[in-house]
Formats: sequence, C-alpha cells, structure tokens
Amino acid sequence: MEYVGQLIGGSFDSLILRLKKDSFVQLGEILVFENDDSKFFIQVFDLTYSSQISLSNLEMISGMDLEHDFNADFFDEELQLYSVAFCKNLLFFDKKNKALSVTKSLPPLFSKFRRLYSKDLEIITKPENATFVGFLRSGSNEVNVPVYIDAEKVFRHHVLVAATTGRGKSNLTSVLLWNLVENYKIGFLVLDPHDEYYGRSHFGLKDYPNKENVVYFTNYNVPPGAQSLKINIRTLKPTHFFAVADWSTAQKEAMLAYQAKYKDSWILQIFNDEEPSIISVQLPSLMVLKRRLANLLDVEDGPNGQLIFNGIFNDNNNAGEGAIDRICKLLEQGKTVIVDTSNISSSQEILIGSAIASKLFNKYMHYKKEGTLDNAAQIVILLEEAPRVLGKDVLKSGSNIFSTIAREGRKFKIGLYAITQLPSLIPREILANMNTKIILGIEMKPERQAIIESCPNDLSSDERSIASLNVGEAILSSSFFGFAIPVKVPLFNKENFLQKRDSEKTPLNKKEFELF
Amino acid sequence: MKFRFAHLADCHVGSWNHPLMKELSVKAFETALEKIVDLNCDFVLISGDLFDTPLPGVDVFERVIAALKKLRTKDIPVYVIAGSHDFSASNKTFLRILSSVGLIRNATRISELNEQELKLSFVEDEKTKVKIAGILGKRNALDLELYRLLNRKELEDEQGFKIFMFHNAIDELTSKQFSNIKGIPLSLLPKGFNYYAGGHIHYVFDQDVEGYGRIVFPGPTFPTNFEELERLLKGSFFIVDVEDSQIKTQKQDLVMKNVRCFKFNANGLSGKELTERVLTELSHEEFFDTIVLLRFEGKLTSSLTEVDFNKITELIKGKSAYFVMRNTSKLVGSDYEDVFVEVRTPKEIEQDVINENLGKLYENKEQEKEFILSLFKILSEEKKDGETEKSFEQRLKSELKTLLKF
Repeated sequence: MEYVGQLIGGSFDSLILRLKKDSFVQLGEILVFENDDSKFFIQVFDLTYSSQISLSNLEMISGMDLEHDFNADFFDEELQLYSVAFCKNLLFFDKKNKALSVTKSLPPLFSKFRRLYSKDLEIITKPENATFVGFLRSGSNEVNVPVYIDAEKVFRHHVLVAATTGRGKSNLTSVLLWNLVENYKIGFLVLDPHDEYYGRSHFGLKDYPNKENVVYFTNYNVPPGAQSLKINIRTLKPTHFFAVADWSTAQKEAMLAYQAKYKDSWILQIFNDEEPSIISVQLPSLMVLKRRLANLLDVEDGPNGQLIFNGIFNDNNNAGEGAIDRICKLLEQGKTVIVDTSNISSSQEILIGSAIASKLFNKYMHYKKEGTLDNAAQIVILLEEAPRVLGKDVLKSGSNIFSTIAREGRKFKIGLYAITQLPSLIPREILANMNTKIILGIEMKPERQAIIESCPNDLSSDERSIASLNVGEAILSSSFFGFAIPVKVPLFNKENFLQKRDSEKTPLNKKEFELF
Repeated sequence: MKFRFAHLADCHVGSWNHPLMKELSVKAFETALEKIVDLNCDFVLISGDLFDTPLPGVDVFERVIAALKKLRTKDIPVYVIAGSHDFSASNKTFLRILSSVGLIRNATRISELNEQELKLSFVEDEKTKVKIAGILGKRNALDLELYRLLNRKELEDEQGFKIFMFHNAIDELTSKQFSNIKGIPLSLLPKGFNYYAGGHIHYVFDQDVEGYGRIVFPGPTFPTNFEELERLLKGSFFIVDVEDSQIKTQKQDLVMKNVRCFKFNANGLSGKELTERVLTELSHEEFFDTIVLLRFEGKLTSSLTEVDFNKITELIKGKSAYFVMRNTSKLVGSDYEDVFVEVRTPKEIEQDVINENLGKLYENKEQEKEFILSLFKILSEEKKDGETEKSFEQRLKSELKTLLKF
C-alpha cells in the first residue's frame, strides 16, 4: 500500500498529516485511511513545510549555501525536511453496514493515509433522474467516478455558478444542458447573450441527436429548424418592464393605468397618444414613457404616422401567437429552449426573460392552486451575468420577477441557473436561497468570500483550494450533499459527447413516402 | 408569362358521419372543381387531405373520380400531396389509384432519401412551366425528419416560377387557437419559392412572409366539425393569378348551405325555462335549407334532463332546416353541482391520457406518441364497402406489420 501521509494531530476541522517525502499531495486532494471496519475520507485544504531543524538553523544553513557556496547535505534528509498537510474530515464509510455518512469521529492517531481510488466509491450508486456533471476530482487528478445530480431536485432550489472569465462556466453549462436535453421533466430556458450554446459554427446543442428537444430562437439568419424570434408587443405587460430599467413611480403607475384601460394594446396607445388619454397620467410622464419605450422596443414613427418596428418586436396580429407563448409552451413540454440574444440589447434580453418568466410563474401558480403542479415540468431559467437582474443596486428600486422566483420559485417548480463573476453583488438573502453553488476558479478574494459565506457546506477552510482551481475544475456545494464535491468537468466536444446512436434510429424508407 | 391556378387543401371528402353532412363535404369538392373549370385555371394544387381517410367509401371515391375526370377532359392537371388523413404508411391509399389512372399527379417526388439527405425533384407543369415541389404531411408533424434532411439548396437554386406544397402548421404563423397542433418552424421551408401552398390547419391565411414568398392556407373546402362550421360558416379555396411573377390571390367561398349559429346561456334558468326561451327565440326565425347550430352554455338550476332538446329540434326541422346540431359540452345541470366538469373534446381527453402515460414504452416520448396514435388510427379502421373479411384482416395486418416493424 502506497501511503502518502500519517495523522499526527490537529482537531476535527484541521487534521495534521505529516507527508511522505515526494508524495506531492495537492490542495483539495482526497486521502483515505482504511482499516477492517471502516474508511475515513479527508481532504487537504492547506500545505506547509516542516522540519526537525529549527527555523534559525535552517536560515543559517541557507545563508552558508547562498553566501559561501556551501553545498549542504542533510543527514537522513527525508526525516529532517518534509511537508505537512492540513485536512478536513469529509466522509466515513462503515464497511459492516455498507453505509456512507458524514464523518462524526476522528480517525485514529498515527493512522496512515493513501490516495483515493475509484473503487473506494463504488458504493455510491447512480441516483434516479441522474444528470452527469463531471468526474470526481482529487486535487487536480481526475478519479474515474462520475458525479451526478438529481436535476429536478437541485434545479428546483436554484443553482449559482460563480467563476472568473475563462474558467469553464460555458463548458460546464453546455455539459449540463446536453445531459438534460432528454430529461422531459425539465424545461430549460437559456437566454444566450453570446450565442454559444446552440453552436452555429461549432459543436453545440444543435448537434444533439434528438433534435426536436432543442429549440433555437434567433432573429439573425435563422438556420433551418430554428424559429424566428419575433415578439408581439401585445404580449408584453408593464411588470415585464420593471426588471429592465429604473422607472419612477409616476412612470410605473402610468404604464399600469394604460394597461388597465387599453388591455393588450396599452403600448400602442401610449405611442398613439399626443396627450394622455388617462386623467391620472401627466403629459411629462407620457412623453418620457414614449421615448423610453420607443428606445427599448426599437420603434420609430413612420412617414404616415404608423409605427415602424425595426427589431424583434412587432404588432402583427396575423402572424401567429408570438414567440413568448411558444417558448412557454415548449418549456412546459420539458424542452430546452435557447434564445439567441446576441443581436439585441441587454435590456431587451431582460425584457424577454421577464415576460417568459412572469408568464410561466403565473401559470405555475395556477397549476399549484388547481393541484396539477406535479404533472408540470420543472422550469429552469438560465441567467448570464445574474447581477443585472439580481444585483443589490437593481433590487433597491423594488423586486422583479427574477428575485421573486429566487425567493418563491421552488414552491412553483421554477428555478434559476444564475451565472456570475461577481457573486458579491447579489444580496445575501438571494445567495442563501440558491441551494446549490458550483464554484469554478475565482481570482478575487471578496468574491470568494461572498460565495464561501453563502455555501450550504462549510467551505471556510477552502479559500486556497478555490483560488487554485484550474480550468474545468469545480467545487459542487449543495444542501443536497453532505460535503462539497470536487469535480472535474469534461471538455464539451464532439468526441466526448456525441455518442453514435445509429442503432437506435429507424432507417428512413423511401418507399414509405412514395405513395403514389 | 400569365397563368392562373387554384389552390385547395383539406377537402376531407367523405368526412362527417351523417349522410346529409357527408354529402355536403363531397358536394363542396365538386363545386370547387366546377368553379375551377369555369374560371379557366391552368392547373390545380391540393395541399393534402383530399380524403378524410386513406380508403374512403366507394360512393365517395366514385364521385371524386367523376369530378376529377371533368378537369382531365379540360386538360387541367391536378398536383397533390398526401396529408395527415389520407397518408398511409403501408401505401394503401386511394390516392395511388387516382394517380395511376392519371387523374392526379404526385407533387412529392423523392429522388434520394438516406440518413443524411432528402433530395426532392420538381414536377414541371407542361403548359405554364411552373415548377412544383412538395412534402407530404404526416400526423403529429412526423414529417419533421424529412424537412431536417431536406436539401434546400438544390430547391432554392432552381430558376423559374416555383411552388412549394406542404401540409403542416407553421409555428410562427399559427394563431393561438391552433397552438395545440404540432407544427414546424418556418425556417424548415426552403426559401425563394414564389408561392407556398399550405394545408393542414383549417384556417385562411394569405400573407407575404419576409424572406420567403406568398404563403397561403386556403382553409378547408367544407368545415369538418361543429366548431369549424361555427367559426368558418363555409368552405373556401384560392384562385391565384400570376402575371410576370406578380401574384394576385382571390379567396373563393364555397357556400353549401346557410349556417345559422345560436348561443344560449342557461345560467339561473331551469331546464323548462331554457327550453321555453329557446323555443320563443327560434319561433321567429326562418331556417329553410339551413344548417342550424345550437350551442348551450352555463349552469341550470334544474337537471339537464329537463331541457327538451327534442322539442327544440322538431321546431327547427319543422321550419325545413337542412340539418340541426347542438353542442352542450359547456352546459351543466344542477345535479352535477359538486362534480368538477372539465370541458374537453374526446380527442383532447384521449391526448391527455396518452400524454400522462408516455415514457412507458420508449425513451423518446415523441416517438412513443406517434406509435400510439398510429396504432389508434389503424385499429379504428373500419371494413370498407366491398372489402371481404379476409382482405380487411390482411390490410390491418399489413398496416400493423409496417408500424410494428415486423
């Protein structure tokens, strides 16, 4: 047995292991002690040097080496100079009862620890409704143990992905989306400001074999099979605009008054009114509203007084039911809907997101009332740069549909998948409501602190591990797991993900279609 | 270049169980073809569902043949695609016979079909040189795979006046009331055609669509159920005039009978009071040769059995009405006070039951749904006129073998 260290002391939260020379134990590595009855799994959170020689003597030896070219040879060097690892308890495995649990006792003093093998965790069975996230990681070493989540449960209670740019957020999200496509119990809305998940020009969700389950909406060069993103302004309500920008009370009230009187043509009426047609609305408010709505919706006056819609919004009553309704329906059917928002403004993206989220929220509240919520698919809404709608500054002027979902969504089977580089901008109560956090590398200390403080598992000793995460390495912390799981997310590419399914496919028969 | 063509879809000839209404569905088709001859059309398009089933009754078939023969004598070719109703996976459809005797021409010409690609070729109309291509319609938008494999570029690159025939709802163009019908996204249609001859959705739609061309759904030639009669009142088809590639459309109404719709609210009334109110209101009306639709809604203060529907029907029939229909799906009697009544059609209930149980046979639910619906369709087939027990059995077995891939 290749041991790498021996327990020589410490406390429950900080076990001290004297490491074997040249064992090269890494931060975050999982080590195992095993005897006839049990196994203890511990994780390294800090590493220091230690020596039998006092520090002043070491300084003296170093000085002689540097100043006088004295090549010091240590007698029994491996006993004189070594490293020490500080570890925390992770798991305890009772061999007799074959039960894995959170550790509640100390491993025996002087117990010898080895590295983790994949067979150590054979006991862990694949959960029902399992969604693959990546492989278990010990330090930077991938252990051949797949890590799954129960997506329905996890997404119902919101997921926050925190990472600095370039650490693998998009890769992780692509992996999750790919593995959720055929989970009909989850409808995933992806608002994609970088148009990266569908993969127009690279491998992406467009390559998923069961193409019907991935629906792509775009307003730019609509590829075959995709749907054009055209929003009928009659489907928009004042509350959808509240998350988009900072509106004064008078402006909000004016919008609500117009909607109360003119129903779904309230926006058109605002554009048509030269003077307020509602007594409670003042002319300056109307004018500001007109201007702001025109900017937001990309509308201008035509030569003959008609409205010209330049962007994704229209007022075409004959052109079908509109993208918002169709998107909601697809999500309810458990499909993955990707909305390419790369060609529209951030405000328009939030407006669309708000409209979809509000509609679904109201629908699901209704399902709950009538007792049919259990039959409805779990909805997940992906928000890139989440502080745009969940930031402290934004929420100062009042809550919006996304903050409402963050607080109450779990009751109605609507969850958020919020991605951010700056978790510190999100209020604590909202961070606390996100019961699963996926942490990739975070460089800035305040951001690490914000996420550590809100994690369901105790990560107080893991700041160094988080700072040292390489690309694709993640820590999965969730109230549904006993401890934060270190994960290596595989690279999202064709070789790793596109399994050949030819055998499952029914071959097309030309004769079948040549009827006459 | 100047020419004129007619665009029909969803004729559902032979639909309706009652002989009087079935007769109208046939008559509407015959009338449409007579008008087409009178209007000197150069050719005719039928965008799916010419028949209500792949094998309609012989009487219906005979009359369709007679009507189509009149077009042939005038040298007016008829280009057809199969629709979700007259498509048959085992290739047993009367469309085959019509095609083999030259009364119709199949506009779905598949030149190549494999796992990677579907290549369609054009049918060229001899007289006008118009190029026609089309994809047949399958139930539940299962033709989606064909559209995904479709080599659009070849079709798009073709020069000349081009028509694309299809039998699908288009997601972006389908209004809310048809949103339960599974469609295909607009982007799956090949671009650059002059005219897109649609069918499947029973509504009238005629618009120039950006990036495509003129997309038209002409509506059914005769409504196929109570709701459609109430909504459309009549059937329709389109006459399309083309001059130097400029398209001018003209909707042609097919009024087979007058249709009168009445809606009665029963809230707060007893069955007797409701009967009296209806009789009083209808006694002043004239119904000669008219289809009368009666829709009842609301909650009665008495039992439903107190409403004397027979008396109401007799009154209308006594005024020489052609046909009387009533819809009471939203009418509730007081004896059902504590019963939760959900207003749904049998088809919706069937769909719900299927949806609730999906996932037990196949992992792919869409595939499973298609399988179940196809099985329903096959098993609900009835023996046709003149068909022996043995040939009926053989036909069913053959359909089932195709479905079950034995």
